[in-house]
Amino acid sequence: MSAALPPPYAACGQLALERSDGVLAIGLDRPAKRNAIGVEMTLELESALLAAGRDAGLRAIVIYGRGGHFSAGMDMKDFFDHSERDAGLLRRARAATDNWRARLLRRLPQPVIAAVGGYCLGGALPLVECADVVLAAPDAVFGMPEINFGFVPGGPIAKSLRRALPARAASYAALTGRPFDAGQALRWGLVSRIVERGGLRDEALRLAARLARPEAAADPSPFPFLLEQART
Amino acid sequence: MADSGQAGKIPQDLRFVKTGLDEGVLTVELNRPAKRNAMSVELTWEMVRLLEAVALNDAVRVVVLCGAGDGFCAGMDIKDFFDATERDEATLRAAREAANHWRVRLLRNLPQPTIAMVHGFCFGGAFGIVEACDIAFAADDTKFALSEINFGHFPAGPVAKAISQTMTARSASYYALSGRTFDGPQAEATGFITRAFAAAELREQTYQLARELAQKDPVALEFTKQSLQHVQAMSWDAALDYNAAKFAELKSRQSGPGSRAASVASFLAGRTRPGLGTAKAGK
Repeated sequence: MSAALPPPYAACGQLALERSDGVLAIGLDRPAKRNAIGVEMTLELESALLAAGRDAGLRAIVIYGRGGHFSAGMDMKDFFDHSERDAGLLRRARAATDNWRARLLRRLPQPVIAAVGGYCLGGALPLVECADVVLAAPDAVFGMPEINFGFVPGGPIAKSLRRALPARAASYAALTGRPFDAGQALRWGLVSRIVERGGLRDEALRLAARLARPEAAADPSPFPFLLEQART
Repeated sequence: MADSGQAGKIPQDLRFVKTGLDEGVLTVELNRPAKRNAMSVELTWEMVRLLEAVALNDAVRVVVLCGAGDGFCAGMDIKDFFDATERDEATLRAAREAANHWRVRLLRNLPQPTIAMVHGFCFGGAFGIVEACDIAFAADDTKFALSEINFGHFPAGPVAKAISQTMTARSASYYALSGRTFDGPQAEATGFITRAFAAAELREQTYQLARELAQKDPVALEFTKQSLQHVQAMSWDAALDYNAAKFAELKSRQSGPGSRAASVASFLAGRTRPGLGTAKAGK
């Protein structure tokens, strides 16, 4: 894929963005923190998804994690630690988080493919829940660990859970905090297909390319209509 | 929850329900084995009294609901609820309402997490009990059946809603229309229960989980239950607003020692690392 990023995308420090042949690949890129979503990444995610929504030539989106994990969830420390950032920035980061997980992801006119390997925990769930197709590697570990430290999957995460999992599975995951593997995620319907680890990202990109159909780029995309039907 | 006080005292005079509290885990055993634990009028009023107390009892951290003898529960003792020779109409009507009330509201709205431990059999009205529990474990060889149709009846009271809340649409129609029995693994596949285990493992798996839950923050558990119950009907923006309000409430209810405030401080100081807890990857 080409490295050059056309406007309206902004350069990012914690997202690896690649845009070519009608496909946008969004790599969560903070491997030292298992791609935990902190203040910078959440602001970048908001701006990347805003740009994607305005990108008329964009036909498919892939979201994946760089390094060993998809994402360990929200970096709580980042969001509540006032010692390093001023209150205005933290407030803006919290608003950006709600914006991408409650609104932007749900209104994307393009199909979204999530490729999950390693940890996919807590606040990472909306990224998977909103995806139209979810590929997972056998080593994927899903879970809602909030309860393990006396916290709750808050309003929007609980809503994501109820949408992504059957009722029994949602209660079990949220109340016990026990992680579950790719096989269980497949049985519960969270995952569309299990893909061998080495080929995970490539398979997601191949699927995205097939959906993007660059040869038909001049035709109006059929996806906004299909997605509106499927996502409601 | 303030002081449990008299209102939270677990009644000790129950004849058809057996209770036992051990390290925060309250076992509630439907205890009418000669009648396959079918819910009678008396059992119904006992459950109402018991659950009203449990909701106010801080010593109870987790509830395990099970059946004495050969099975979980054979459903409603219909005859008892309609037998006008024993009780007058108004009394019977009140009893029928109470039978819905404890399953649909009292059990569902307990602040503590609830686990149904199902063995042997689970028929008809018993589906309304299992559904109202947050987690349902069952033995592989349990016989489940929505048998109402086999005697010219239909899944009444809370049962139709119970199955449509948890089962896939196809399973709910199939089992409610056919009245056919299904076993633990099939019940898990329909979504009605959380997991099925070999019969010999059921008790250990249930109590292991119950003890694990008893160690978790009770306010966070209560709020998790509430969120999962309420957010589905909210718009995304309403859910965000609800979240913000619950967040503030959580902080205010967790302000004592050993509270969330203390854990966050400890986390920010690098003394603890929240994450996967002690549980291992897997199911």
